[in-house]
Amino acid sequence: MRIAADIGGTFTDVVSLDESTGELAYGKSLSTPGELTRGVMVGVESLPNPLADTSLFIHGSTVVINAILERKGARTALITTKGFADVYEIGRINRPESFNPRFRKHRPLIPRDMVFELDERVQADGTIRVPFDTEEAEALSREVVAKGAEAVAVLFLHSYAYPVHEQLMVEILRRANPQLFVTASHELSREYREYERTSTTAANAYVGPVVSSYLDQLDRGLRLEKFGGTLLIMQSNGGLSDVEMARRQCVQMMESGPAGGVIGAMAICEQLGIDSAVAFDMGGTSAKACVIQRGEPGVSADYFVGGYNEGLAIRIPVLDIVEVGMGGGSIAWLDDVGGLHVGPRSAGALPGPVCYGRGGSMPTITDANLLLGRIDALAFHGGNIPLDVQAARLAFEEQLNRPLGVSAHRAATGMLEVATSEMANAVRGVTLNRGLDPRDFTMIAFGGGGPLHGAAVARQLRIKRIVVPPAPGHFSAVGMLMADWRRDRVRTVFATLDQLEMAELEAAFGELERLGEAELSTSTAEPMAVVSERSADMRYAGQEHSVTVRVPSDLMLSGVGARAAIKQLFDMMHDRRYGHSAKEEPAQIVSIRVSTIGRLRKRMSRELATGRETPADESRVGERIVTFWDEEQLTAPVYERSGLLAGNVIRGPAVVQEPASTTPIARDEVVRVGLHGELVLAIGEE
Amino acid sequence: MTTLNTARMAAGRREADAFTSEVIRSAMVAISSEMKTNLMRTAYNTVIYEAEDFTVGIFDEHGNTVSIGLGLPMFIRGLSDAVKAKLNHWGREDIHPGDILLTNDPAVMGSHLNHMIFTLPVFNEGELLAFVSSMAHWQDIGGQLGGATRDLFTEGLQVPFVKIFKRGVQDAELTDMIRANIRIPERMMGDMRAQIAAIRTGDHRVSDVLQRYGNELFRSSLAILYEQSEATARQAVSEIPDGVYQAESFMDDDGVVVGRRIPIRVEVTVRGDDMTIDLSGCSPQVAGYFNSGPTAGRSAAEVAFKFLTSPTLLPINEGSFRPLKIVLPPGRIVSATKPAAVRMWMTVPMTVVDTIFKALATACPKRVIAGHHADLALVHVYGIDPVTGHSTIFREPGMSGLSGGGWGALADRDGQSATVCLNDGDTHNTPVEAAEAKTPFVILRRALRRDSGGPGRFRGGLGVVQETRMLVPGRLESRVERTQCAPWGLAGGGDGAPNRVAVVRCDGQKERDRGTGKIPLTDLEVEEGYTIETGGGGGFGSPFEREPASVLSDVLAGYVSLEAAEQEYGVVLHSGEQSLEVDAEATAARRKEERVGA
Repeated sequence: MRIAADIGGTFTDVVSLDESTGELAYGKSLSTPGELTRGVMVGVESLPNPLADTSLFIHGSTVVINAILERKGARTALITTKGFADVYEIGRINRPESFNPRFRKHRPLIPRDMVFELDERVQADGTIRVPFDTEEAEALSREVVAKGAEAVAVLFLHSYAYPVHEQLMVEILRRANPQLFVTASHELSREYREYERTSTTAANAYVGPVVSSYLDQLDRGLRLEKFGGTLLIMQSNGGLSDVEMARRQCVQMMESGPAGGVIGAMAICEQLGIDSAVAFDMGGTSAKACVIQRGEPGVSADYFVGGYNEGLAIRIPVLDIVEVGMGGGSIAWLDDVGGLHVGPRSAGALPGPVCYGRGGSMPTITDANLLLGRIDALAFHGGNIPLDVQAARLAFEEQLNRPLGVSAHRAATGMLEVATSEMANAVRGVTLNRGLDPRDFTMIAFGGGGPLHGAAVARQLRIKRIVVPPAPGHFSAVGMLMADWRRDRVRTVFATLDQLEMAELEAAFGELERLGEAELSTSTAEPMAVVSERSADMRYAGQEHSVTVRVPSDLMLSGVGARAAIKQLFDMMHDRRYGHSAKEEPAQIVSIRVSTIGRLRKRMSRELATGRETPADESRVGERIVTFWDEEQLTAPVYERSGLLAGNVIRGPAVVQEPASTTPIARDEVVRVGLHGELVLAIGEE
Repeated sequence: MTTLNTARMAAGRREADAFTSEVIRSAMVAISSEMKTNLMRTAYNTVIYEAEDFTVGIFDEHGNTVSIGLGLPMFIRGLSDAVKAKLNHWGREDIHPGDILLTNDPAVMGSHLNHMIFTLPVFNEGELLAFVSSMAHWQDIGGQLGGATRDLFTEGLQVPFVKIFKRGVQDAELTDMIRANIRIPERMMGDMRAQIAAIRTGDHRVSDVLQRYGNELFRSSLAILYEQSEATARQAVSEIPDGVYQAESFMDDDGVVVGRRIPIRVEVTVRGDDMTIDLSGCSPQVAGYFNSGPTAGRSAAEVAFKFLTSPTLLPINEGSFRPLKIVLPPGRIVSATKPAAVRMWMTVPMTVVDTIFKALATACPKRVIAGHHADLALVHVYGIDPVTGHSTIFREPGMSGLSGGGWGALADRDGQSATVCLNDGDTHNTPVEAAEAKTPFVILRRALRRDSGGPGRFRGGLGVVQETRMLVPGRLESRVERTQCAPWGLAGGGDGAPNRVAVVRCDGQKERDRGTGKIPLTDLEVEEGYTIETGGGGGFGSPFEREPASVLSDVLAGYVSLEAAEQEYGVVLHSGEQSLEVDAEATAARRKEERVGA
């Protein structure tokens, strides 16, 4: 038995997989922000199998991101090179909101009076300009503790290449204060750029003590319920880590929830042999998109917690997800001069859409879907939440139809038109804006709203195929069950390719691989195979930005021609991503990267029984008038997803509904049910 | 494809409604943003993709702004003016599908010759519906390298209105003519391709929208968008009391006649929901390179107006500026006529914007912001690269050499520290680790400049101090401005410290500027270098009204010194049990005494 538990903003989803039968079971509980692990335990109790039978428990949590956004971390100190105490506060000086007098910079997690300088300095080439003074460092260590620090971040300039001074400082701090949470920048990232490294290290120290006690609590809770298996933690890179690693590298947990959905989408791609896909996840407050190509998700080097404009830079590998503030709870509203907007204001889970009858009064996307017959008032969440159509209609009448002078039908379709356009921008953000043409992509649509809106969004980008996986509302947790153990390492080397000895490069890669494999060998996960993936961040001489190029591991062994081969891979990658390359210009390797992956044994969900092309009569539960993406109102048969069998074909107009979502099928669309219960919707077939 | 992209959705609707116009709005913002990404991805030179010295945009059939993607905030007006001038030059009938219209004339877009502007008309069903355009800073446009320029001819190649592509075919002779006049033409041609790729992307996407919605629905949606933006701006203006408001400030000098001040005077008139900004009182154009064309003066007025009326509303469009009238006769420093030198065109307009805020400080204190450091504060270092042996600019503006400085306080909030000046937007500094890896120098200190923020009830942001030492011999040149006219406070707030630059010799001796931040080419030995100190922002409100607790936390953080706390803020601090504490009695006495004294 395996269990995955994913804490989201509103709900905590749990999924169990019976490895002998492939049976999946789902549970849900309300997230409990003050005491996150309680939601997990409540969710687990709702599952059919006891924890005692569970060999692997996978967990994704918002604990890190909450602690940072709510500023509820530890009292933290920063120790840095003399002359550079303000690097953290100065940041990168950019002003994204160019006309806003009220723009704000990022707000450091460590106040300036908790930033300390040590008189030491290493130059870019490794020359020691000011040597490390042990006595001064010891005095500083005492001062930091006297100031009440519970955690300490250490960053010295050029430590990505020459970490010795950081190592000395950390040793002094840890020896004198075993209980202190200490992080040095080189332990988290060996990549140049001091502000980004400082910000990452500071965040890690800031959440360190919180994460430690959280993990203790979770572990204790699980053991109390007789859990005797392995606990692994979901990270932002889409891989799993041991609890011990999660304690030291806390920031890696930052975006674990969204990562689960993308990993699930990757598994679907593998199952169905899809080369290029975009994972499209629409929930209550936001919609997210991420690209998967040849089995790998897009990874971004630029992550900001709290958003780009005012957020803090965190330099860890994070799946390249573009998000827009558009979800089922997004509200339509008019500004002071009567301009219409949809989102990013959201009714959230409470009070929620008007039709929930929990006090919501502003028209939401969910209300519009209800008025257009796209969701069923009586079958929402399996009928557990009866929806109030009348209340929704009244809210539209008062707040949109009358002030804007449009029909009730137009107000609802208009809202969806705006929402579609905005969500299409998220998909554009990960495809066209990255030099990828989405036309040949398949969309994997999940989250409660993904299946409802996926096809309309796909049409804007000329995507012709959409896959709706089983249980789209639990997909992030399901995805976590498909993840592997993973650790990414980076090291800045600043080498000119023409002058670099290939043996030296091989040795550098080899060292990172050994570190990764050594770490994996002590892991509690029991991988069936170990894979190391090499890549290099490269640029043309004179450029600042680099692109990451995959370097096949067997390339070095060939020796002769390796340099030219790397250059060629880089030229090709540059051309693909940026539309041009400069074959005659010399290239540099800025950093090298190694990902160590421990492949875990996996078992896909059970196969569905195969039926005929025409769905069984019992699966057809009624019909209703539905408005589709083109505003056409048609009488559509309604199918219950649980009654469908593999091989069933449904031609639009029709609707497939299930407890947490609905898939409308327009007139020129066809759905085929796959072997594992996935709905494969083709656009442009009548 | 037609089944996927049919206009069925819009069929049957002739008039745009609120929803259609909102979809068009969101599409236009997304398209200009995609054009921006496209240009940044494909550009060759760092000034474009690091310093974001470019602007792309979509314009209606009359050349009015529909949406622009920044880039460079101070270029808010430049593209639209250039498109209108092109339309006027050729006329609708002489602009054909596939034509790419080019110019870099400062008389029509206000800035310097490096700003090459490419424009592509967008047609649907044979009708000219829109333009897409891109401006980008070419690293070289010919002309004199470094030093002081005195006219446009010394500054490089002037490209009048030309069609670089005629009906989709590139003009090879014209292209050769341009190539022959610039250094490193391969790079520049790369940038040209990037600019053209960006506007072609814009053309495809706008055409897509036109096919989906049709020409009339597109036009009527734009009309609604303009009206909404106009209504928002008018509402904001109507909240400002009627009146005539004036202010003045000055620049250090024009870089040629060093030490002779340049006056900047503005007059703002508010009547109901209309505003007039009159820049007639600004200095006549100057002999040096700090002039700019009339579009730059108008841009300064529009940037100020945008800050005042609809700071976060997107897209930036024509409607937003309808309530604004600009008076700007030719021949002023921000409306210079040919052949005035304009290489540092971006400097003076920033001070013009701040001076407009200063004029309106009493009229609408909640909308304005106190003065900021208002300069790029660039120091150029030249030397021989020890690796390549070539003479090189060690730090060019693109990479980026910017330190950022203090921004002014608001009526209810402290100013931001260490942020790029008004001319720039999403522009970054260069990390110490990146700069030192590329360049043979060492940076000894990069820090916030204590006591540089103007004191006030709300304090101005802090400037930055950076100390740099050479590891090989080199030469230095500086064009730092606003070293004399400090960033001013408002409503009783104090001034921030002005910009400052000094050469540092081996013995630690500093050679300070003498009333100017302009340092002509100066030799530097190993371990010699320079210190640049950028200005702080002005304060807002009397510093004697600042919460003593805020002053205490500023002192603890090191933003304000103990002495300044007492002298500037009248807050007396003494050592408490754990750390410093406010001496409430002494503070009250000190503040009372100051009031009586005043």
